[in-house]
Amino acid sequence: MQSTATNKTASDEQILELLRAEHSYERGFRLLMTCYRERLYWHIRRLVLVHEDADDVLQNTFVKIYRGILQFEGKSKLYTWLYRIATNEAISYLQSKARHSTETLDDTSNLLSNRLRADEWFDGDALQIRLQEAITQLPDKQRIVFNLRYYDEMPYEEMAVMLDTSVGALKASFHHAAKKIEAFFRETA
Amino acid sequence: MKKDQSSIDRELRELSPFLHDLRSKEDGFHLPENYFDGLEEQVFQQIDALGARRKPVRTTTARTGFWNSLAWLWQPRVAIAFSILLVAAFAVWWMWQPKPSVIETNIPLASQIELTPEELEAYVMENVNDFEPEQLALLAIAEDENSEPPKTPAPKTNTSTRNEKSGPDDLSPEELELLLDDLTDEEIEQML
Repeated sequence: MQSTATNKTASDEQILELLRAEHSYERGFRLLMTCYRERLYWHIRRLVLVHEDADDVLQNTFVKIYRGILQFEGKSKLYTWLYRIATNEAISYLQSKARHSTETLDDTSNLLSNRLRADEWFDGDALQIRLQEAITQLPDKQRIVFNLRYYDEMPYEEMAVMLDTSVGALKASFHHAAKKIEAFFRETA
Repeated sequence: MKKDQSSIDRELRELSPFLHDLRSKEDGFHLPENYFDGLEEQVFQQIDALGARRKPVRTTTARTGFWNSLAWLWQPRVAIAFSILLVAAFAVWWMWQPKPSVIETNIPLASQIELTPEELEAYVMENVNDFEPEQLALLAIAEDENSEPPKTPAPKTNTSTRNEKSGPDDLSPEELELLLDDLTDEEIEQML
C-alpha cells in the first residue's frame, strides 16, 4: 500500500497552541500541513481517485482548515476534525462534478474509473482497477466507511466521532460494502 | 491516528479473505515526486487570493516599538493627513485673530483735517449736488454761529417775515424742516 503513514513531528497540542496565538498562527498552520498533508492527501485521493482532483480538493481542504481552525473546540481529536473536512470537500467535489455531467450514477462510476485509467499517476493492475470500480459503485457513506477502514485503518470508535454515527452502524456499513465488492468481482469475473 | 492494523486484518480475514489478500498488494496509486514541497505555497496563494491571510503580529521591544511608531508617521497617507490638519488649524487660527474695525491707512480722517471756513465753503459749493438739503441747511446754521455777531443788532422791521431773513435761532427743528421742504435746491443754493 502507498504511504498512508506520516512521521509526526509535533503533537496536536503543540500545533493547537501555536494556532491559538496570533503571532504564531501561520507557523502553527504550516506545522499542521506538514503533519497531516500526506494522510489527508491519500484519504482524498482514494475518494476522488485522480491525482489532479486530489490536488484541488486537498488545497481547498487546507484553505477551509486555515479559515476555520479556531472553530475547532477540541471536543474530538484534531485529525478526526481534519478528516471530516477533507471527506466533505471530496464528496462535494464529486457531487459537483456529477451535477455538471449529464451522466447517470452508473455512468458517473464508469467515468471515474475511465479517468482513473487515464491518470498518469495510477498504474494499478487489472485487479486494482476492478477494486476501484467496485468501490466507486458504493453509496457515498459506505464508500467513506470502507476507505477509512480498509485503507486508513481507522478504529470504529474514532470513525463514529468523525461521522457522528454509532459503532454498530459503521460495522454493518463496512460489512455490507465488503460483500458488495466481493459480489462485483464475482459478477464481472 | 492510532492504527488498527491487527484489528482490520482479523476482521477482513473473517469477513472477506479475498479483500484481505488484495490489501497486501501494491495498489497502483502514485503521486509526482516532491509534490508536497510546493503544496504549502500553493495553499497560501489561494488564501491570499481570498484575502483571508492573517497578518502576523510581531512582538517588539519598547525601543523598537518607538522607532516603528515614528516610521509609521512617514507613510504617505499619514503625512498628507497631517499636512491637511496643519493647514486647517492655521486657517482656523487666522480666522479667529481679532481684526481692527477700520483699516489703518495713512489717509487722515476728515475729522482730523482742519479746514478754514473758506475752504469748507469752497468745497461745498463745488460739490453742492452731493449734499442733501438738510445738510446744507445745517451748514448754513453752523456758518451763522461761527460768524461774528453784530455789535448792535439790526432793528427789526415789521415787514420782515419768518420766511425771509429771520435767524435760524428763531426756528424750531420742525419749523426748519417745513421751511426746507418748501424750498427748491436752487433757492437753497442762492441762500448760501
